[in-house]
Amino acid sequence: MRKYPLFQSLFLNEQEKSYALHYLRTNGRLALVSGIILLLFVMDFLIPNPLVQLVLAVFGGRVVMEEANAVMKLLISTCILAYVLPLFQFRFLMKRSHSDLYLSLPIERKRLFYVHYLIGLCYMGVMVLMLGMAVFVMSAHDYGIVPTLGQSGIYFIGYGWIIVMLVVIFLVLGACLYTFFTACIIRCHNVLDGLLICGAYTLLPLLMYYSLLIFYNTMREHLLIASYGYEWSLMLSSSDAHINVLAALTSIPWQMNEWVKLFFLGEIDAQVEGTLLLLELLVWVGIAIFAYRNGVDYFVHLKSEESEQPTKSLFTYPLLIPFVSFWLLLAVGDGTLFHMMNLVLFVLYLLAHFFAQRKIALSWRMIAMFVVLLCISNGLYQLGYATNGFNLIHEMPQRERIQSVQVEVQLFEIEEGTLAQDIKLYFSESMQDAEVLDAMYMYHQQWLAYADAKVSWDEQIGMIEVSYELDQGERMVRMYAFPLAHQEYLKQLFQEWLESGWLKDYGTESDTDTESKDTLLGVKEAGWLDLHESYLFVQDTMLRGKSNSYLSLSKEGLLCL
Amino acid sequence: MLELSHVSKCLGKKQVLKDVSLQIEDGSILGLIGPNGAGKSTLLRMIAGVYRCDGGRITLDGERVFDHREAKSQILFISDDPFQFFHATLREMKAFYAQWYELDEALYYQYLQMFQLDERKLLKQFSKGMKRQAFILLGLAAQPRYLLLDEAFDGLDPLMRRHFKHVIAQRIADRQMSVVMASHDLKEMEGLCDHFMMLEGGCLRYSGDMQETLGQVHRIQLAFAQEVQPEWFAQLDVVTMNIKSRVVNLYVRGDVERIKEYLKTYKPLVMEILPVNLEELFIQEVMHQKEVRR
Repeated sequence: MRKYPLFQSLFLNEQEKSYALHYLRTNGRLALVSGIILLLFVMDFLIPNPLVQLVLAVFGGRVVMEEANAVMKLLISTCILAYVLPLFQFRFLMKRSHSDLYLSLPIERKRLFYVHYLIGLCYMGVMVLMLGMAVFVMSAHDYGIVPTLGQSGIYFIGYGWIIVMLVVIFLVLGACLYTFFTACIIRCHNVLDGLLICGAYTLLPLLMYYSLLIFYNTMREHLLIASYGYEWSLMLSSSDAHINVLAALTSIPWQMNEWVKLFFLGEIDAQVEGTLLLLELLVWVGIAIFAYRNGVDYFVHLKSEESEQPTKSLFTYPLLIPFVSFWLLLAVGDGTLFHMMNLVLFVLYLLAHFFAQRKIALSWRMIAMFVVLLCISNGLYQLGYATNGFNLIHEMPQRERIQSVQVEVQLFEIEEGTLAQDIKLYFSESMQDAEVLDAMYMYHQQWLAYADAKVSWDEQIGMIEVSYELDQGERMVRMYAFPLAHQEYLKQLFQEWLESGWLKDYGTESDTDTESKDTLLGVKEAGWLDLHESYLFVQDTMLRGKSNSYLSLSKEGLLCL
Repeated sequence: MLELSHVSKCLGKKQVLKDVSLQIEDGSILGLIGPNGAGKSTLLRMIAGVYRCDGGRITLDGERVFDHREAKSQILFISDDPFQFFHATLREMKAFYAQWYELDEALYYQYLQMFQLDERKLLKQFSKGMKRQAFILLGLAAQPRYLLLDEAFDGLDPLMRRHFKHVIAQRIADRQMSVVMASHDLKEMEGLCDHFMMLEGGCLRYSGDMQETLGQVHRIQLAFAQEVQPEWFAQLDVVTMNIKSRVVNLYVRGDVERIKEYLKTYKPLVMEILPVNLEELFIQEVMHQKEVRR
């Protein structure tokens, strides 16, 4: 049985209050300076910014998206605070003389933990609120109080309320992140380890995300006849990957970003994403409660004699080094045991161990662990190859799932037996007719015999990209490259499609769409937001001559906000 | 009363303290002595509740000290490298200590005058000795029941040592304060402490009243007419023995009269018995332990 309850008294006694005030007084100057720096960072519109001038030039003189920009900076500030504050609050554990003083004070350890945790949390809360308020005031100043608080633009509520909602979400998620890092920091015995461990936990979801994508893509390359390239955007927007859910679940900054996208990209009425994000937020709250509980437990039993020593706690290097190594092995692997990158990773793995233990000492356990990780990663590849990518990768969708199809053909001009630089692009409308779908399905089956994923660029005669809209809102995109040897087949096919009226010339795009394309390129270059995915989707949509909500959102929501 | 009962502690794989038991009476000054790495600082940290005991227990009036607020409020620990806040003055450190202990302002200013320290000056600008004075001052003004001092005399000049000893003695007399101090300055310790405890290799070698214990060990110089045989002294509790032909230097524990009687049976030409000081005892004991280990 534990000696203390899960939730202790939330209120500080007189002595603790007095100590907290003294602590704030002695660190007041530092708190003030860091607060001002963060405020300037968030409100950098006060400083002449050439980037904003560029945006002004592109969008015809309207100051745009400063709120979105500021909200993203608020997100970054929240994450920075959550990252730095635990290190600052519990730095006394990392120096023997400091821990001598603090741990000998007449206060129970769980209360000492709580007081320091609370001071950091309050400071972060005040800072996020203050910065959020600044963004809110900025919004009110730019658009007036009515559009800020009332209905405006494409949103059903004022921009100000969106900022308020985001600030609340940032507060909750920031507190979760702060708690998680606190539980990590108290396990570290020096500042450098603290920075590295928390940094590793911050970047780990990103590593997992990209490793999974690379793993998935390598399997797809291996299994598919379709040539697919390495563009993330294609994978992100395809029906094959629901990996964003995992990323947002494993990373709080990522999840914050998803919330910003949800609100600022006009997906505020997207119930599914909103509910999913809310569930993920609740998961993080649960993790934070566990982390806090675990942190108190660890702190009470903390061995302060280990301060200034190499960090050896389970959740630090001993767990992180193998874990990071595994994901890296998965990213560089291809199902073969022996190749150069595995060797490089092995060297890095050993170096990481030597750094963690602050001495060069090789052990059989270390080597055995790496071999096990290597075997697991390669085993996963072999298993993936044997099971069609864990039944996720299929060359073609099931016919009954297809709702509509679009094709895009790239045909290379041939002059005097050599391939010219000019590429002719043709595309179809979205086709839903059952007969057309059947025919297209049949063509798709034919391409599997003619296409060659490994054919080099200068030996290709053309490419066909087929995009399926499937049921449940999923999409599948496949691209086939045809070698010169199948020139006749492709020409015949192209002729048939032109005669049937399926294909349209890309050059007939309207001026409006061209303009939209240019403006979106401006958005991308201006780099306000991480709009990469949406931008590509919009661009993709425009290329097919489609006008949908994304496009209109892009024009109204992004350009005129 | 502060009581250590079968206390042991490992730092990493090394056992630093083994089965140490001790009682520290109220109003006493206990000196902790021992060679480097003997476990003195570790023991002080364990008493202060910084380290947890791996075995045994440390209690104050029957209550475990570790993670016990009331018990810890009666103990103040000043380490060999006391921590000061970034950019803090002595006055700010006083404010910090005042939150946790019953700091007597009048006493603080009295000692401040005695030690001639500027409370508005940044502590980082203090010399090592001044910093030590500052923390001793704070420790005394905080009026704990047990004041734990690691490397108590480190950096103090002779005048300040005198002030320090005077103040300590005064505090002990005024109030039931006990001081536990670790130091390598054995002369000062001998003059100040009424009890001492010698640690060697993590084990308790001696403990008890200073004068009584020192009175139990004797340095004896002997000269004989014939060649000396080591077996002659086998029946004595010899700490160390140095035989050079017909001359012997002995450090022996026990009743001086009985030792004299015994040695007279070998008819020494010269027998001189000298008192032993703490430093001598320390050196002989450490040498003895090294000999035993060898």
